[in-house]
Amino acid sequence: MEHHIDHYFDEALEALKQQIVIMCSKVQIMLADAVRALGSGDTRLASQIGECDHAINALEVAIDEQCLELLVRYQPAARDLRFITRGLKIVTDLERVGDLAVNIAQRSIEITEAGGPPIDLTEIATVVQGMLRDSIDAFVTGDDVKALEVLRQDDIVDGLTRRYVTGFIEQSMQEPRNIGRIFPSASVVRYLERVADHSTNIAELAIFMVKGRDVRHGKLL
Amino acid sequence: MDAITCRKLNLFYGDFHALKDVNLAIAPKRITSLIGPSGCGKSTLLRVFNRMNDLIGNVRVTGEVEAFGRSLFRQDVQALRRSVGMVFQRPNPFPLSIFENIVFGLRIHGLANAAGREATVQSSLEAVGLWTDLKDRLQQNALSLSGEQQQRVCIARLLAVKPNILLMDEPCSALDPIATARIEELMQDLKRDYTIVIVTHNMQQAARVSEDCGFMLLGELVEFGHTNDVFTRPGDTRTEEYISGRYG
Repeated sequence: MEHHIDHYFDEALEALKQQIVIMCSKVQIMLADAVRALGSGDTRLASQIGECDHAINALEVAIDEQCLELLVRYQPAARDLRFITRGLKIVTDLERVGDLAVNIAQRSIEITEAGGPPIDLTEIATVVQGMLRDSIDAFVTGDDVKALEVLRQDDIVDGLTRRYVTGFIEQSMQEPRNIGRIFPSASVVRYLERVADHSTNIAELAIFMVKGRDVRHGKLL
Repeated sequence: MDAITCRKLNLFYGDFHALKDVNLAIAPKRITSLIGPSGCGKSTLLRVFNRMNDLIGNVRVTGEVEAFGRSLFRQDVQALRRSVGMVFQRPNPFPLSIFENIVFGLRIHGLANAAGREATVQSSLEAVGLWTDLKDRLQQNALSLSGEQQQRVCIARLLAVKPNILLMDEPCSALDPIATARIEELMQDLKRDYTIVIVTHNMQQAARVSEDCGFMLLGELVEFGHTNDVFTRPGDTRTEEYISGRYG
């Protein structure tokens, strides 16, 4: 069951998987650094994150090409087809998470220069980072149970987002002079919420890859 | 009503059990492909549908097979082969003129007069996209045509006797990719009026042309379903292994 008759196809699939794993790792590190820069006020670290984005963009293009080559060369079927076509999709989500990490890093510089976050964002950042990690694990290891757990966590993030936004609105009315810290912090919460949405997408891709069932847009297994 | 129905079909060549408890329903006016490794029984199953296996000695069949609700085994074999025609791997026109090839079935079944034969030649060749090219050389020997044209003439020869079902056993394996694409296009045209069952080793061809697909292994119909499902999310591990080119 594990090996193709044509072992070059095995090697090409393995190479694709490795590239996707590398891209996943880089994006996770970018988000972790952005969150760390925000929490610690490390503007130097924050300013370095944008440089990683070029590598992410290059990986997106390279993985796209690898997927197309595998489709043309081997005309894959069944789980190979599902893996390669989902590979084409996951790079888009990963690339956007990379962009959002850069955005968070840029806002963190503004927040730090304005005196730090008006509300501690650790809770939502921790949940979202966990969702990204679990969705990637689910995709890479083909763990549909873990992927389903990620889908359930999206509601938690939506609830946290509403709570944070309410907090920011109250603060901006009570302390209008802090608006320079509140606005970029609200943006960070929105960026984190979008990372959660991309994590959900990745989890849905993992479920399709394992089960062959499309669970996007609320369709149940 | 299904075009073909098999219920607990078993076929033995002497002691060899070639088809094992095959249950199958082939929908009308669709293309159904049968795939599987060599010796899996897919051609044997196809040949059951117009009783070609009757020509082989020492064959024993159990179970029931119906075409449009009528038992295959309780009807006249000549009438059956008129309604269930077969195209083979290599084009096999008779060494006769194009015209005589097309009307051959009409003559042996005594189906039409001279005017009727001419009309049938025209409609059959139009149906396979050859009328414009061949209408002025109908007396030319069919063996002088290209492989693709010969295969089209063979299909036209079937259409002349107004079948319901067309069986195709590797119909493109002797053709180049362009001729293959043209025959596949013709199959799409023909499915408006006919039920087509194709046996092919070419899995990409099965994925391209058929709406339904059956995977066979060691005489067993392992899986049958919509082609898209079979090729993207097969339900059986053996299907998955075969179509993705894996081995255990």
